[in-house]
Amino acid sequence: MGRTDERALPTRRGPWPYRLAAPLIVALSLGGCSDEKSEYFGTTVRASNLDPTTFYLNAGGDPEYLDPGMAHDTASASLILQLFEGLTTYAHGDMHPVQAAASSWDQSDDNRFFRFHLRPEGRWSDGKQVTAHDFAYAWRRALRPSTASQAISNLYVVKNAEPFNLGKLKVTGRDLALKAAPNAESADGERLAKGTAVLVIARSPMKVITAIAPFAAVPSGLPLAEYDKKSDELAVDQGKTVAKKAEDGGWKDAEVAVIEEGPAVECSGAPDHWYRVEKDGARGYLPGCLLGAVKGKGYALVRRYDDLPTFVPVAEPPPPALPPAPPADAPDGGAAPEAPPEVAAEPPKAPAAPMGFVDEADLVQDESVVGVRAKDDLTLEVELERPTPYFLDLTSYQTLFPLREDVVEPFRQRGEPDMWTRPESIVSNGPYMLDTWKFRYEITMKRNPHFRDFDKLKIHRIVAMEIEAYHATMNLYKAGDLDYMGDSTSLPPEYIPFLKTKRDYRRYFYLSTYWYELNTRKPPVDNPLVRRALNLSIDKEQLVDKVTQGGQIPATHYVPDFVGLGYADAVKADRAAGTDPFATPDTVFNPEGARKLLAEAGYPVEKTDEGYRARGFPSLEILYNTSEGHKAIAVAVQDMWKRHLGVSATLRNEEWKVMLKNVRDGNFQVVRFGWVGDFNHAHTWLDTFMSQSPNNRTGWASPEFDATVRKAAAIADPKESIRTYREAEKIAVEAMPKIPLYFYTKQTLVKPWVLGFEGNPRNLQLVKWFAIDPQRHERTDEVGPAIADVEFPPPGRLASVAAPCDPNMPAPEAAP
Amino acid sequence: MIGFIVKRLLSIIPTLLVVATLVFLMVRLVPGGPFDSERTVPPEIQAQLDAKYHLSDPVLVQYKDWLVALVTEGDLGPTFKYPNRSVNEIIALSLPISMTLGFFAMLFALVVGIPLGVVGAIRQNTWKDTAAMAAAMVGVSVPRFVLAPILILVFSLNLYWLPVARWESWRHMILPIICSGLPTAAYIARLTRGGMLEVIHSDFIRTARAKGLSERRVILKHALKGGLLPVVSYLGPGFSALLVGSLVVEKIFNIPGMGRYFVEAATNRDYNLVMGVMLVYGFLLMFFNTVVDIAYALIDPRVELK
Repeated sequence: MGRTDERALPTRRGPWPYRLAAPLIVALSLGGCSDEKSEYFGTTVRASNLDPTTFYLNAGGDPEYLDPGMAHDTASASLILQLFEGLTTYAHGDMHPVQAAASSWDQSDDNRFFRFHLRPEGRWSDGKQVTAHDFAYAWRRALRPSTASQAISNLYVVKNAEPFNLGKLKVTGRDLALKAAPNAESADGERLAKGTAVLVIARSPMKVITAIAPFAAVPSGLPLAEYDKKSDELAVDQGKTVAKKAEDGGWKDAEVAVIEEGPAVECSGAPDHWYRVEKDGARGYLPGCLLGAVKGKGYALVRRYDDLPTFVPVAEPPPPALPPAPPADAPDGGAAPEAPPEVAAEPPKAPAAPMGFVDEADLVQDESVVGVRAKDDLTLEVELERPTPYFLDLTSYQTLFPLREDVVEPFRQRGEPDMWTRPESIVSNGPYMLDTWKFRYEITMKRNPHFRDFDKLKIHRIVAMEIEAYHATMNLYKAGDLDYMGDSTSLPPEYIPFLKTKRDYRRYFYLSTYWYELNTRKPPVDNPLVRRALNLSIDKEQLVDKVTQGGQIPATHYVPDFVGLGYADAVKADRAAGTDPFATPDTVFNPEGARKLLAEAGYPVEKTDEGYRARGFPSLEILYNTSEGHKAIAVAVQDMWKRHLGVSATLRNEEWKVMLKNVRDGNFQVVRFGWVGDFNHAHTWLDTFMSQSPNNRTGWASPEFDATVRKAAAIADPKESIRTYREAEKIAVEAMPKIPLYFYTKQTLVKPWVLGFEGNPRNLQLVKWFAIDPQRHERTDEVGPAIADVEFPPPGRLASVAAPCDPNMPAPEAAP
Repeated sequence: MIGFIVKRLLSIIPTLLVVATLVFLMVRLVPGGPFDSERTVPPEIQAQLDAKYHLSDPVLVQYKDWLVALVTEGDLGPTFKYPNRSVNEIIALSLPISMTLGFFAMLFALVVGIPLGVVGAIRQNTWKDTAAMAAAMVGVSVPRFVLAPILILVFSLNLYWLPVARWESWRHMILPIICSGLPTAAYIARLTRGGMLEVIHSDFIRTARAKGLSERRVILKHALKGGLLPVVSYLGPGFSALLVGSLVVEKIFNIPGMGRYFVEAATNRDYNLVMGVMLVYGFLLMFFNTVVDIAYALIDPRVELK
């Protein structure tokens, strides 16, 4: 080292020849040598002109959103976390939920009803009280279809949130009669009072988006309808083509009226219904996926929907006084119907809800159908759609943060819904508040004077530089201009072997799995034996040691070993007992077993002079988005398949968005993806295997798996619940629709003068934990966070409705 | 002369229109849309997003709306990637920074390049010429992404004279300006030398010398004017390229200029931003070409503007 402390000195003086020659001399003689000797990367002395209460970090680029309800990327999230706070917040270190806006909560045993008690001293940055209404508003606003939040699926666990968000759950704006057919002349059926909730099953008229002539009658007993976009053919009954392109183009692009919903069908892998449609008097059946909505108004086929939120059915202790009126929400159209009843009405057991057509113009949005409500200023009640063991953890997530209606709404009404997050308008409730925002350059924050721990904040100002290039970040850090690399900056892979030896290098586990997804609709990977053989022949230990080199954990299953809320404990217990289902010869690298499996699948592996050869096995193709890192892994996997199985594979790389498009269209065989956990619970990974998940790209669907996951979610005992999740995971691992490669680690650099840093699995750091000691030149880990976490008292208990867990709970209707 | 300028400036409009139309269609032909991401968005949300940004309209309607907004209000529309900024705002924020960097880089290039080229020409085949041209050769062939790290390594990380990156004070500007300007300076030096050599051996210079003018006067008054013609014709594209920023330099030094949007807007499928950046670059390019034509006429008596 030796040079590390010179930065604070004034510009060096010297005779001219020296000044000219010096750079060259230095470059030649020192080069990188000074780095090699130092125990740290760059300076260990904080420049004296830097304020010791200002923290410099890299935000990695300009955040897409500082709006908690809209943000869906980590770069935005790591800034929002400094500005806002949810009902709960993350604990230093393991990130379990601790007190924030809420100071206690009650819940039902089946994880379906929650009641949060807000602390009365919670304040916004303008001094107003943080109330339950701010949460109810924020959640409902994020769920409005017009908000179009891309992070919204995090809120789908709330009662009725999903159909409401998708525009399928509406209420009648006036007294209406259901009509028997989609036109004004048809006869009136059952009457619906104003404010009745209805589920939109289909919208009419619809446009036929294919040239296929409709069926005269729907074939009965056919569970599948496979539609091929390219040939425009509709196949039912195991691939037998039954409908071809009509000579005259059929009804393509024609508007048809939907007359009724027919039997259930699965169209192109998605659950669907047949619809009876009519055009110019001619009638036929088409699966919903061949129909598209027509812009503008029309008739909607609706069904009365009685499953409205009941909130907390039996409260302990009983509510002290009459609750105040619910907040005056202003749903589109302004026709706010009555709030849902507060007392539990036994939900009717699937009665034959009347179905019929209404004019779409008579339907309005009503946010009160969603299961969140401010009971009073300090009590927030939540009813969930299904048992959600990770819900408390979810409340630390930015989509569930509170917002001020009086701050956000004026901008929406002005048609500039995204502008309220500018420094001059934003009001936040976290430790810091936005000071300046120089686009694509830097964001600065100052202390929120109304934050409850204002006095304890050791860092008074945050400067979040927006540096995208790796090397610029590394240089700034090295020179001491950055205290911390920032949550969203990864270290350049080529630096890692060198940085590993430095004391300011930190490595920790990260809630993410790197995997290869297999298209289970395409041979040969439609065969589970083939998929398992491909998995067993990848030596993941070697992949991690030789290729990725970041200390990642080789993965034999999908949920990272270190996931919280009981999962990591279950892994440990299983390992101790020697019963880890994912440490068997069927799951761990086993080339012999792989060859056997491949032979079983009909591709005998022969040993030839040039190694193994799988007879008759077609060549595979690995698709990845263009990146050196992904390429290195693909090359290694390609080599292992060749070496151990005699299976040859080609590589295809595509630019990110092109790849996403191709994967969505099913144009892939093996594709690299990863999954970053939205919350610290096994559910987030396993959810991507559910047959209905939009993130299930493999086409693999198993009713047994779906049922097991649903069952696990509804078990109150966390241990038992996790055990059931592990059973579900085992089902998925046996079918192997995705090949897990490794669990991520994150690496970063933190200057030795930063106190209170501890790497965590969410890779999110709250600056309120930090302090700067400019006199400290050696790393210390003993110093805890600047502000201690406040744990929750044990939750109070709420009763739940009888039989809340129904594994066959109907999924939201999949209207086209 | 005035007529020529007006005519040339007016002719920029149809050219820009053609380019705009082509780019408008081409960016939409590329697979993938602005809101594609790893997490699959439900089709209903996708539809809402498309509706919010009018992406569900037919392309021709989108084109018409875009053009009308541009012509009537000068509005280039919203960006998709930065929801609380408009394209106008992004260009207004980033273009001045790129212009500053580009202007000083060009100044640096001219101040360094022209003398170097002149020295090379009048001392042809001496060690001075060889040295100047060797330096220029290196300057032309060392790309900016190699030059920049070397400059940073030496001046920032070893000598601690200058900051490693960012755009705060004049000290932050020095390395980016050198880095941006040096390859251009080298190119200008080579152009100047070539131009000068041709002129120096021409008859009118011989005449000037025969008249007994001082060497200094011959070079500065007579030779330089003709010798700089190739440089002047290079200034048009060279200047507009420097002004709208060099992607590499802006990235390495993390300067919030416009250069980065050339690639980034396209990869993000940020259609409106692509259009805005393209229009600005197209305009500058044609504008400077016009300026160069005028300058040509002023320098070279053989050229007449019509």
